[in-house]
Amino acid sequence: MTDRVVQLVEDILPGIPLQVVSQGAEAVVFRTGVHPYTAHPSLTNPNQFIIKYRPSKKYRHPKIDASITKSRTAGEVKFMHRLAKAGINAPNVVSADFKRGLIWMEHLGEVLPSGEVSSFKNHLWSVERTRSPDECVSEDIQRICEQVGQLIGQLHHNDMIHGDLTSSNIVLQKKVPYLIDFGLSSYSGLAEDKAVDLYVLERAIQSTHSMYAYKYNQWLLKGYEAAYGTNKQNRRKYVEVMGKLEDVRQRGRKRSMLG
Amino acid sequence: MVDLTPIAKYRAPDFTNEHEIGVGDGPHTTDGKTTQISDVVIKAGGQDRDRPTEASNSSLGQLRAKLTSLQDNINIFLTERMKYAKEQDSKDIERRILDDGVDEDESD
Amino acid sequence: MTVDLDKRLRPGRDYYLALGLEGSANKLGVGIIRHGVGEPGPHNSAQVLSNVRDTYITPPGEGFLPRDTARHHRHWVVRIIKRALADAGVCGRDLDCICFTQGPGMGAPLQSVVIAARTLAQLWNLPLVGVNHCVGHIEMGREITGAQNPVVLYVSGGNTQIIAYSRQRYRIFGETLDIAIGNCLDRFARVLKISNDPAPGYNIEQMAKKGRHLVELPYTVKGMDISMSGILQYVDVLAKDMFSSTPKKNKNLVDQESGELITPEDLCFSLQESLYSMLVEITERAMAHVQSNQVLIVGGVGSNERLQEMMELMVNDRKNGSIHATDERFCIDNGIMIAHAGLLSYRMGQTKELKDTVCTQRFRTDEVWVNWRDD
Repeated sequence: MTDRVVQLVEDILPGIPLQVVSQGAEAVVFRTGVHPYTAHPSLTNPNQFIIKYRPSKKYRHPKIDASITKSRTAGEVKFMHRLAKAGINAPNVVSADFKRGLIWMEHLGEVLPSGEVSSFKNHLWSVERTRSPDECVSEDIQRICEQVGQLIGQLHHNDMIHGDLTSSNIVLQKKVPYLIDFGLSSYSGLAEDKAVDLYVLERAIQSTHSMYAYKYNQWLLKGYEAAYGTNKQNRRKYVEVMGKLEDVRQRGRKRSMLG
Repeated sequence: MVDLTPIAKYRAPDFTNEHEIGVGDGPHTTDGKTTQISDVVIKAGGQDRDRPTEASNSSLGQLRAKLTSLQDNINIFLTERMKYAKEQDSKDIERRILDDGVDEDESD
Repeated sequence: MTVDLDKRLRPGRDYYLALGLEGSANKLGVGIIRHGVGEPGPHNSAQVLSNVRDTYITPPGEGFLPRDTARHHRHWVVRIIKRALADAGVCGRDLDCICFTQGPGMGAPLQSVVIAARTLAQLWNLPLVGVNHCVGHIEMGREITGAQNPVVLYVSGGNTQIIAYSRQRYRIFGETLDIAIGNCLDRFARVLKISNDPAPGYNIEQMAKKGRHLVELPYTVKGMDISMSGILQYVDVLAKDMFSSTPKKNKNLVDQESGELITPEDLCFSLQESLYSMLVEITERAMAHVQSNQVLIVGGVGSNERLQEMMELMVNDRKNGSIHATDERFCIDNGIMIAHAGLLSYRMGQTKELKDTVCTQRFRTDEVWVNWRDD
């Protein structure tokens, strides 16, 4: 894989030390100690940064590829900017190059004992692997799930749609969740779009953490509800999203009718 | 040759007696009246390459032919029943509109 | 814990034989498979004794109607079964079980084939095994390619799913939010009046090879799900203008760089490039998510060369990535995959009473208990 991709980034950013953190589906994520334009960044972690690079995909037609790389990189940066303004937990943008598909951002998360990044998924997996069944549904896990739900609630309250919610796209820093990966994000006030966003996460939890998915999803939705508060108008919005969510679930079950 | 002749029996709540459907007088073939290919396919220039093979002269072959006739008779009978049920339905709506002033939209 | 697959071995025999019947859509397939005693694997692979298929073909511009498809299956099933038995050189009483597609699929064709299965089971006094069509594709794909634990892209006329195995279920990670890929191709072919013989998708593929200009079509990926109805709507409008007397009026029908008119071949090319990019992208997303480096493509659309080529390009850029695909004998709906998956179920004791052999149009892949695996 990545040798080619690492070479590409090294060519764009000569002299910047790069360490591969992960290879996602559409981007490779690097860690670096170098900030592009200041020696004293006002970030929680002033010594480490993330560089996210969307390499061109050889399988895509060049025209499709260029348009996707540009629109997703630009979309992600704008989305992160809006998140920062709304005060929703997510990394801060440091700098970006839309055409080349490069984003420099704040470093979040820790390295787990397994050597993996402390994503919500890896955290749950490591608990599932190493701890007792009781600990998989501990109060601690419940709190994290509810906070994740709350985070998504805040997002939707601002009419922002993540577009790719999975347990991989949530990073824990000191066990507090942050949203990442906004390449498929969009803006919408429609309950339908919010419901699909939730449905994508619900299904991702079911397939990735099938053993305790029922509990996790329950807690996620509890946190989600809490984010809407008790204000009458917000409650109505919440109820509308839940109604749509049930519709979307039904559609899911009715699908796959033909062989 | 053993003579195998199938029959079908039909029961329904609004039928006092069991209705028996037979194969009819024949001659029986595997080329049924009600089991032909759809008209739309032929109209669109399609060919029917899925015709059933002819029945052999064995008792099982003859049973196949008779079953095709029986299927025809069942299909005709059930189509009649559906037509009848539909008529009753529309009559019922008519009566209810006249007698009770029921809005037609309410019954679906 | 290891799985014991030999509880039902017939005395005096060291193998199993199963006959599989498939007819969930417009293909009628009958296959006979042989499993040697013991755990299946590279040293004990299944043997395909016969694999016969007949396809119901409709004229251009027409989809296949359930009733005519069922009629096709009814009228061919005995001939196809006879041929499958003759090819394999076995007779009914040699078999261990009769396997049939229980769903998902079109109701009428499924019904017509299950009747054949029930008849055979009673004729030869054999147990019946109901098989999930999608699981049939997955198990046959694994058997033929030797892929141990791949992310599966299942693409066919009625299905578009990204599947991965976890805890004795094939779990659906991503899927279409509206229409299936094959359905999208079929409808596209109908709009452009492309022939259905041998298959619309195949003809689109051939025409796409002659396409030169890319028309940008809607590209909709939501997480690991995709949506294809937008493309179809877009193409519908384009096609109407294309067949009108003044195609130049639509600026989307003129290539920006060369000024040339967009041809049906260009549209086929653009459709394939867009659709398959979306499929490859969500497959890669699923691979990253479950940390797998194997891909297995199954289903009728899986035999598309461009899709396979694009998938290979994606996989080559991933660490130790490998791609597995089967040829059209196994990719396109067939009876042998039903026999194979059914025989695995049979060996684990999953058989059906006659009264439980009702077919179901809706039968999700993750409903099946995959108890022949325990990894």
